[in-house]
Amino acid sequence: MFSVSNLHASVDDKKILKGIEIDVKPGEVHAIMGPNGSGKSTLANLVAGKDGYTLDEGSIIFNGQDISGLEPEERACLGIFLAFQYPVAISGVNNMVFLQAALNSVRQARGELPLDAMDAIAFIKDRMKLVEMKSDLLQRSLNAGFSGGEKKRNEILQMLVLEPKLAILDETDSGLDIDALKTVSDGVNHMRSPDRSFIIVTHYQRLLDHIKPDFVHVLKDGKIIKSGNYELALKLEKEGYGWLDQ
Amino acid sequence: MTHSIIKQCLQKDYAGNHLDGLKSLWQDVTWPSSKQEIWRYAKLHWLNEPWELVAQKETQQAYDVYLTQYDLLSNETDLVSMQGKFLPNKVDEIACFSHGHLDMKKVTWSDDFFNQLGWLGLSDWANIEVAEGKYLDQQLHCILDEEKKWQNVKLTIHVKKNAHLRLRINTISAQAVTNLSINVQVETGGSCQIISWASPQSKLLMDHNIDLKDRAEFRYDALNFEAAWCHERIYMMVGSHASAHLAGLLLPSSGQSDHKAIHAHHIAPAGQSMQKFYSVANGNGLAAFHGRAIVGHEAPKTDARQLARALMLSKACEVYSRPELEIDIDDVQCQHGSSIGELDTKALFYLRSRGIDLNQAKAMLIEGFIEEIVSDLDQSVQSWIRSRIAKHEIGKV
Ligand SMILES: Nc1ncnc2c1ncn2[C@@H]1O[C@H](COP(=O)(O)OP(=O)(O)OP(=O)(O)O)[C@@H](O)[C@H]1O
Ligand SMILES: [Mg+2]
Repeated sequence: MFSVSNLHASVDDKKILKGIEIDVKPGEVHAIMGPNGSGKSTLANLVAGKDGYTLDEGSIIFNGQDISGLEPEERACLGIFLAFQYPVAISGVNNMVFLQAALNSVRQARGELPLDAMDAIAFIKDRMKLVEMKSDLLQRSLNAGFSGGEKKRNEILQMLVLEPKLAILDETDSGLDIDALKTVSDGVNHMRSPDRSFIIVTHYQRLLDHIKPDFVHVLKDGKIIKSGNYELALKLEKEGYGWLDQ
Repeated sequence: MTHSIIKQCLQKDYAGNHLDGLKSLWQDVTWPSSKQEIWRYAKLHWLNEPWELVAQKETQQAYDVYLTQYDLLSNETDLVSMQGKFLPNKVDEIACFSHGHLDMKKVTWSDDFFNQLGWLGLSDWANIEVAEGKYLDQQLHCILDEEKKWQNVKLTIHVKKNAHLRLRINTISAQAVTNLSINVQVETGGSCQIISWASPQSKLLMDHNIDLKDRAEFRYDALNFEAAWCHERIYMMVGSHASAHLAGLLLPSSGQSDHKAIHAHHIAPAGQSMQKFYSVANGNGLAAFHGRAIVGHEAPKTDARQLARALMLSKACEVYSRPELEIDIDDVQCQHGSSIGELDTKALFYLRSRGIDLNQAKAMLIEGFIEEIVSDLDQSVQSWIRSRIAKHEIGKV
């Protein structure tokens, strides 16, 4: 359902991704690990459609369609979701109003009727229970003044509300306390289904204890240098990335 | 030319209070040269005001049309200022209409009438006086017939000791220029809150002179963002322990301009003043804020702040921001901040990555930006102002 092949991308003439290959089938969970600065967030942003990147080579195929020319909102409407490593705070934009707008855009794209305010609120609140988020966060400005963990929960809430087909979680675990990690993972597991796939970017195997990946990839210097299963994550946790160079 | 016209105004005893205002307004402030012609135009009109008052009869229906057009209810109307001089036998009619909810069926042209209501309802002059310890909450509509070129309104507001006034001024003048001069005096312990709104495409010259005595409180919200052009000058004196909050939204899109020139002069100890103006400019719109806080050596412990923030949405728009502090003394707290920027691309991407299309995302960010001003407004006007903003060009980027 989702694949990138021979993906090369650069920022300001600096090559960052140097030939990435990933193939994600429906229902699969892929984890991407790798040292700081290796290009994990770049890959995630590129898939979500952020501008500023030049796609030098390769393609991004989602459900048979090359999406590399689409606007970010078009990709979201097709069912791609990125939980950001660093969610932006937007003061003055009410979190609930934002969630409703996003929900109805995506529903419309799926050919569903928009929900009126009452139904939308009920639906969002219901989803909120899954991530045990404090309800006053809905009435505040989007991510403004949210703690690190609250921002991450808010990202997962958005995922639960928008029900994407492909969710990319970029270091959702960093900033979460031990209990929150479990709650958020439960939220993600709740979403797992045969037609929904996940790409999980993380530095720690701990998250993968909660969300069992089908595949683990190591991204280094813009390339996937090793792929394996959950065992690979365990080995990385123990031994770091050094051994991969030999 | 200028000399003779000022003289002419003096003779009319109209510009008396404005004379200082006129001088400082046109001489102190140097605005961007590319829009000088707008100023010249404004200036000419100001000085050449025809000063003719035409007797004219208006029906309640006509007013209802004006008001409902802008979602204003005529039964909320407290004061109506109109172009034209109303002959004594017409006053009944006007008063009945403009004070319909007071159930005044028969009013006669007498001092008594004015005393009861505390105002004069003629085209060019209204006095609002709030007696000691009293509270008054009023709406003033300055409505100008489409055919007229000019409306002069002079408002004299006197809030006595420990009295409170809340006043909403709506200027409705599609084709014409409204020349509104407001003189406010708030006595010891009194408070005065003024909210000003102008109808779409109106042209507005405003000149405020504000005098705050000890412990007086003043708040002014300039929401004339729908006007084709608006030039406001505020000259304010802040007494001891008095506090003033001046805020406004400038949202000029193509063909619109909005200027604010403000002097907040602290003349006694421990006064507070805040000038908080947010601008969003689009098309070839022009927004200019020139705020000055002056703290003399007679005003220790003053707290004077200015915050001017602006968003530029187009290449052709112009934004000028000049917050200035003039401080003659050490023992004060003063801050000024100014920022001019474009829409945050990271925030735009964030919203779009959730399926929200570009235009809606932009509109959300713009609304979010001005929300800091809107959410701080008096509760009674917040939702109405939001609806006005939604109708305004600025959101339709
Ligand atoms: N806009 C940019 N301009 C210049 N360099 C950039 C830009 N964006 C990313 N980079 C560089 O690209 C490289 C990859 O960055 P990226 O954020 O993708 O790393 P990452 O694998 O997500 O790292 P981390 O684990 O620290 O989150 C880094 O060296 C980074 O400095
Ligand atoms: Mg990263």
